[in-house]
Amino acid sequence: MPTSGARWLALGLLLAAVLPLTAARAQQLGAASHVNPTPAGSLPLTLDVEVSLAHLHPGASQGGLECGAIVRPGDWIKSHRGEITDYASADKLVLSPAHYLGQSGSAAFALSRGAYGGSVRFATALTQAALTDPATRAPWSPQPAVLIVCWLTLNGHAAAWDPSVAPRVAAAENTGFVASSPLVVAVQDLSAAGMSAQATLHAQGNYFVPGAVALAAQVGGAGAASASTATAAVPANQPGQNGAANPSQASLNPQPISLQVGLNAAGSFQTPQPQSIQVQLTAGGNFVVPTAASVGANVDAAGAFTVPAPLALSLSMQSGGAFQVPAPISTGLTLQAAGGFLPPAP
Amino acid sequence: MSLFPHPARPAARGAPLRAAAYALAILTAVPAGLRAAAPALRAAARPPGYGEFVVTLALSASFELNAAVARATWVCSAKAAGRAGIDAALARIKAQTGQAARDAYDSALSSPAHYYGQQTSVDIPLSRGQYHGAQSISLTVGSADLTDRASGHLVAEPTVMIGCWLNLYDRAGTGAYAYQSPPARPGAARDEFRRVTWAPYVLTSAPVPNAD
Repeated sequence: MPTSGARWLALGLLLAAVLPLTAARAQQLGAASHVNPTPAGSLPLTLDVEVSLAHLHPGASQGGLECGAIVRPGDWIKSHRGEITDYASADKLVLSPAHYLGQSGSAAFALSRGAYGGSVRFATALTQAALTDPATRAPWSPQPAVLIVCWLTLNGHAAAWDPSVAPRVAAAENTGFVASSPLVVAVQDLSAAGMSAQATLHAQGNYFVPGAVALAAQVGGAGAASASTATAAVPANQPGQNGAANPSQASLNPQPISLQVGLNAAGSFQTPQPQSIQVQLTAGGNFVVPTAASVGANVDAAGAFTVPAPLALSLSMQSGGAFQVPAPISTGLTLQAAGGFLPPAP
Repeated sequence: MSLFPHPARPAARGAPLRAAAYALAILTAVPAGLRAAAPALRAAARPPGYGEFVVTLALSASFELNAAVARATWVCSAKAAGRAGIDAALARIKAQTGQAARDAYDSALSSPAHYYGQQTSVDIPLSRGQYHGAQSISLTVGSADLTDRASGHLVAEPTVMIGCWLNLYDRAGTGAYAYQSPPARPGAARDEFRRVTWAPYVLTSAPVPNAD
């Protein structure tokens, strides 16, 4: 049936397209964590890297080492090792030639909360081609050795080395920065019995992760039609009004306002019992009283006073908490006596 | 140094990914039954919000408004920068009153916050033209302003400022920001209802902590 034939054709094309890719990926992943079946005449090589990572970008979830190994004369390695300073140079001198020879791979590991600690192994095998100088078609000499390079990857991308002291703001686009070198370099003498090398990689991120900020403030006053009964210009940087310079004080918790009443009596008068003065403080102008503030004061008539004229009371208002009053507030009071005034004592 | 040195809004973060997804969809043009691969592309995107942070303002207010006011809102804005820049902006605003204060506020905070989507409007429940209460207002602030464009690193003493300005509207829905002014002359302007005798805004700042 034509339909069935088309299906088989499609399936065949699909398999033909997918299977080589899968096989290639499996080979690459295998190189990362396992020793490949060593072809005849090749030399197995492993590098165990003790990795310690911390304070990485919070979005970094996958770490890895992208590694490669090449064989070169000892003098060449000595003279070129110092040239490997960044990913580009590592790629040019080692990773890319190693990839060409099939001696590269990556070993992945999971990051937890931007950190990782453990051993990561890179394993490969040096082929006969790797042991041979292509220019002379003779074995590398003198003193051939293996140069192994690994570069840290984060979320699949080569980590960037930023040695600056200043942190970076952790954003979505900059997951791959570390403050110390993400490079691992190891040199191993050639040995027909196989080679095993060790190295360490300690790297830390230097990120600033903005945290939540909580503030409190207060605003308000009488409306346009209301006459201010009192005004107080609040300093701009004082909490409680249009500013809170100190975040620790920004959370307003108004405290009782303390009023000191000074009674100035010019003459002498006497009250039969202590008189109570109640003052209602209302908001006006530029400050707010969340609840009506009541102030009490006692006039103790222990002695005798003479008052030739209406009493003048001056109030000095001091802030107890969030309210900041730059200067004493003066207001007028009317004193009403609940008891009876007594005549001056004879 | 300018407080707001960024000449243009950064491109939407998902844009390249979306474009790639669209291109992939066009190129593959698979039957509908096989399109389950498309959501996976989105799922593979980074979790949103790295570098962003939330600033919350507990705003207590107590005021009485003109009888013509039918609706009131807080329009709140947030902006992050280095402490020096924030302090300078605060000083510029607070040195002014009335319309000049509004202009300074708009220039230093409201406008850039609106541009970066760091602005919100909150209704104030009025009762007979009065309000006495507290509201919690939260804004998400991006990290762009915390990064020094020259060096790519964190600005010195990262700080965020948040401000809320009272907006007033009459029964016809006409209105705008409230303004501080002494009692008006007879024959006051039509927008007299927007006038208050107190500063109709709150403006505060705090350091941005490092949550790492």
